[in-house]
Amino acid sequence: MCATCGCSGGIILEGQDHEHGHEHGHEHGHPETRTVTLEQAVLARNDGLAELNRKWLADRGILAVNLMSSPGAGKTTLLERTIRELGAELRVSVVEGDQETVLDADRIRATGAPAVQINTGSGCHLDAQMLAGGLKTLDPPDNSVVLIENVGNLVCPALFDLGEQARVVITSVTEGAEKPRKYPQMFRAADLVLLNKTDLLPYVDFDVDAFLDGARRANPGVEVLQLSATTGDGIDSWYGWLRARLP
Amino acid sequence: MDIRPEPHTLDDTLDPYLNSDTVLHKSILSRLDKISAGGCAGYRSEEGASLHEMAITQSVIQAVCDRMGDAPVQRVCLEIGTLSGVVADSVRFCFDLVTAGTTLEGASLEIIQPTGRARCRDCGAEFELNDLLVLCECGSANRELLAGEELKIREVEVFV
Repeated sequence: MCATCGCSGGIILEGQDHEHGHEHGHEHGHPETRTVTLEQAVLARNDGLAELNRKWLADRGILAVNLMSSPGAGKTTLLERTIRELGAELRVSVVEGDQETVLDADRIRATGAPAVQINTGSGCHLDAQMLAGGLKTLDPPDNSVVLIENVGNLVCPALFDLGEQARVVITSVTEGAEKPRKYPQMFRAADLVLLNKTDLLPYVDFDVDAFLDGARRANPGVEVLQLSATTGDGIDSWYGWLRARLP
Repeated sequence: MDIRPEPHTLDDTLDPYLNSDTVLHKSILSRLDKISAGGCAGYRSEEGASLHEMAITQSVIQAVCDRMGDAPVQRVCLEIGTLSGVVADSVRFCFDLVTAGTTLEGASLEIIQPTGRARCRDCGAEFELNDLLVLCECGSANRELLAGEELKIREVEVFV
């Protein structure tokens, strides 16, 4: 607020005063206003819906895991293999988030698992309301697992609680070891980090130690599992992590 | 643009996003599409997705309308911490766009940006940090963030 006249003629940062002589967007002789303190989280509505989702899932004994990565890190391939190999043991269904197409949901359905596709249009992330819609359509059975494949994006999904029990960030060795340093918010939000496509390590210039260092700077103590969803190397550690979180 | 509060029950909020957008979403996104040719690309992430600040700004409008009803809004004051993952300039960019046709149209936007502060869980030192990768001087990454992650609506000023 302008300290001289009390108007709010522009965007002012704390500790900075704008120069007077600015053009007011309004006439002087201000109409009466009142200031209301809100102190409210910007995402309070999403967070409230996320809590409803969390309770809905908990009441049914359903484990929901939010998988986040950049496009092409191997989320869908990981899901396909997980469903094929754990399908007899766990009832898995999938919520697929993409900007366009039902291609990923079709890939999941080909494994025999139920899947629902949410197309976000230009939207860059899933939010709690979208997941609620996906869950209603999917109607997962009690005591099952719902894997949520978020929109491929290492920025936006980190901010939006869906009501999931755990967040998994997937990076592949073809993306470069600097990903945690470039996207620390995402790695900070992770309960688990999967380093995928390790079968390609001999062919790419990827410094695993630098990757681990970056991940732990952003999120000290975060568990990192190395695997290849294509060959199956190391994938038992992921299955073990999943089993340990079943209600 | 219709931004009336929606019921907060699960059943009432379920279907709109399945392979379609809500009215709310569509109107914002169509505007975003219109302006994208005019230089919005700089606000897009490396992966090509559109900016989450649009959704954040929309959440601000919705929360203010939920709380203040039909009162015309003169000013909105936000706190966006420097470690929040939300770019204040992008919110400013979105604000006029998203408020058009609402009780916030023409309102001014103030953004306070608290800087990051952390306490080391190993040595107890408190220090400032400008990004989430900064370690404590003792070398530890094990720190508790005290400030910098704020993302809230501090206050609004409405006409009476």
